[in-house]
Amino acid sequence: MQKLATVTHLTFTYPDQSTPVLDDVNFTIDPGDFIVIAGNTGSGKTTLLNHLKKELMPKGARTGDVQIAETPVADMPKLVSAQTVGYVAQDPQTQPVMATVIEELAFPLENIGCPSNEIERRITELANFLGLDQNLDRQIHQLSGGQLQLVNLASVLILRPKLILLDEPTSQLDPLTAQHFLTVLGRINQELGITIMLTEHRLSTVAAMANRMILLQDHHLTFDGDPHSGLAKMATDAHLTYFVPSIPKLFLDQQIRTSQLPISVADAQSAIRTHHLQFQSGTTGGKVAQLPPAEKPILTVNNISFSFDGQHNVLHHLNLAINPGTWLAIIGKNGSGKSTLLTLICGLMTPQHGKIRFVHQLVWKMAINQRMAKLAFLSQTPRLQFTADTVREELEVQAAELRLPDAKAQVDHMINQFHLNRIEKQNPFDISGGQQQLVGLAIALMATPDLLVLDEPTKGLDPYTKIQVGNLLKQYQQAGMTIVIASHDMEFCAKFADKCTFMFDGYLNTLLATQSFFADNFFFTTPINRIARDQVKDALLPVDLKLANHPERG
Amino acid sequence: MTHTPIKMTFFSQLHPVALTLYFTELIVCLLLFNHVAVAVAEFIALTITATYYLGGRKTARQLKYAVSFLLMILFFNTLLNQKFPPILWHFKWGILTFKFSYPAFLYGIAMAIVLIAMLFVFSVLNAVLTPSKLIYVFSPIAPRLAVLVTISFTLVTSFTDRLKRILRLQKTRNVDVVNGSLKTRTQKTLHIFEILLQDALSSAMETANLMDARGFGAAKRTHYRSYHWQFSDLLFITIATVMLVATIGVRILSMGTSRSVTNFTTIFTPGDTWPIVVTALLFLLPLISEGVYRSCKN
Repeated sequence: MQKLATVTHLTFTYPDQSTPVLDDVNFTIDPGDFIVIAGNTGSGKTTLLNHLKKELMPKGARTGDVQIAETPVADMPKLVSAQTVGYVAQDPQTQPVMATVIEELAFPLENIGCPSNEIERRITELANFLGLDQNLDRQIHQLSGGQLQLVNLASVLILRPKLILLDEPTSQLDPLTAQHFLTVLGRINQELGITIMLTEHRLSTVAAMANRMILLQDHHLTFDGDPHSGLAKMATDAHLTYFVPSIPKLFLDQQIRTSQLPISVADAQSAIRTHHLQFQSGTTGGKVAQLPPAEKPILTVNNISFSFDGQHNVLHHLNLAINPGTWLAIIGKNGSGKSTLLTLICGLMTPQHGKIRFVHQLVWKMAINQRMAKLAFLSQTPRLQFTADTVREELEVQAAELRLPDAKAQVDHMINQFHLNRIEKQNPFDISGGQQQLVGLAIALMATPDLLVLDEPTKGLDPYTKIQVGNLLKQYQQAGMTIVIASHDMEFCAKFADKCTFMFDGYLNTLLATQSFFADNFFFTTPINRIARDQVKDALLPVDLKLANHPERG
Repeated sequence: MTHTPIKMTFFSQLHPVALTLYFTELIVCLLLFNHVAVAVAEFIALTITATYYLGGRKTARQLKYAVSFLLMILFFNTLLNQKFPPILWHFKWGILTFKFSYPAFLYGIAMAIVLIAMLFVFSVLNAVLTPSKLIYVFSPIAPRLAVLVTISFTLVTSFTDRLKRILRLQKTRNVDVVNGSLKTRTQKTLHIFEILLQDALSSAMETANLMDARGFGAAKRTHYRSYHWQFSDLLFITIATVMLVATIGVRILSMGTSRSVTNFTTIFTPGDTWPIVVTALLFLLPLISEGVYRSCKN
């Protein structure tokens, strides 16, 4: 069978670096493959993906050969490239250029000189296939993140490419939206036979859908095979073991031998039934949230309503009280109002009705200097909070604004704590999304505030870094800091938060202890809870389960 | 009575090319006549049309501005043209003299009304012929320019949105453009723009690469014709063009117009009747068509 793509002895070094980011990489892609590329941050996943698309090939020293349909990628005419290889980027906002969905879908076809009647036919067909037909006339800026990423995919798919490349396409989507997006991707692969190749940190869904996994470790391709074996290999690496999704991790940790390592909830449930697995609680008495004793709340949100346009309330008579030393996680879909609430809590906007008090003061009436010292905020777009030309300078500026006594020592401490040494002289706008997130966190923590408010703090972070950040924040919390986060990351919230609440349509549900919150949820819960709730109701993470009866340990 | 949303009106659903031609005809027509009676007739017809499509409140707001505009033109016109008889009022104070000329007054009214009517035409045009329709009309002539204009429109929206977010979020870094001395505020505003540009440039580079990846510049661009000519479009624009031809015919016969300010001594002349009829019909054509369209409802 003719190979769709061949990568032979590919070695690539960026101009400002001495060691190659890809070192002697070899693999082939068959038509119809669904390939997931896994690896640490900085292992070269995105660089490898970009080498398969002529227009995105990075500049630097390159040896080796990359061919698509037996044509070197670099020699591919632009017109052929557009119709052979599609690319969907990580940030859904960067791709669209037109005002409406229909214009965005027509854009690539107009670029390749498609006649109008053909454009119309392709749009009709694709919009119906992807369920976009009701949204064709909608303005792009009115779409949610999930809808936008689907439009981005459609805008690539409309060119009928043979191969679609996706760079962490679901990293900015909430779990249900991400699941929907990946389901669509699966349909494209299964029903249309289009080859899919994507990089992803959250492997739980993707690894179950993919037929191949490529593993990059220390700039080398160390594994190319089925995802089940790939995950087992990842579990043996001290770093990559954090990338293994919780279901296979449970089976590997408990040394449960099955014919194939389960990845999806359905596979795991089937394995539990087939092997009559019995689980018991892995922690003595389960995880009991160490809630601080009830005292005067550090933050009270009293009956607030907020609207951007005066036509529709984003927040509607919302109440919230947060005790000092708590870690509260607010969970909800994209567009449910979480970010707006956090912005209001930090006094960056003022609600039309109601009051928000930090201890006794109205947040929006606090002097900016005072607010910066007591109440720190990391937005979901940290780069919009950057203000200096280098990473170190960012921290120095913040230290100066906060009038910290030993500014240099504090800056050095933060740089070491977040492992920013390698990038401290780089422009913060030029570093990766995950690194920007770490710089944003370091800036927010410079003040050692009483209240730390984080909007999607794990966005763009790989699973290893995420756990390190979680542990670090936990230390700050144990030292007395109150933390409020809005997050899509169920497992992060389950592991670190004390209390959780669900936000929907401008309201907050009752605050519950993390364990009860996830144990009572059906959709917004962890995969471990989904597979084991019948046996251990409160189990959320692999560590919460222990095998009670299995005869076939590996 | 519930008001029909503008998108659901017959006029708004016309083919963009038909709409562009019609609005061009209206502008030509407005430039043909300068008699007060004709200008008033045109203005009344346009006000009725605008009220239907823009709504009473918006039209009333525009009329309020129109009155001040009218007064300003009248003031300057009568101030700068004082020599044409008959003089209605003569004021003298020391070396200062002012003669209130009746022809200057009438000419001022006619000019002001024509100008106000022109503004009304553009208001209706803005509401009916949206930027995307206009780009559609011009894209066959300059396809690349058309797409760049569209992209610019989109970028302006996202630029504005991003500026608002930066202004909000930079308060966490003590960059507040509202408080402090004028010098501090100016410095901080400039700093905000620096951040905005830096952020916009970095994302624009990625957007440009993704445009390239989707074949931008790979071949001669075509244009998706999302609008199709209907019989009603052809009928509408044919009637409008016939009316414009009639209007031009009336103008050639020197009806409804005067060459000199000296001739502006009366509001209405019998020769104005035909121009009033044809222009009013042309200006009311969308409403007449709307009525016909509704009467054809099953």
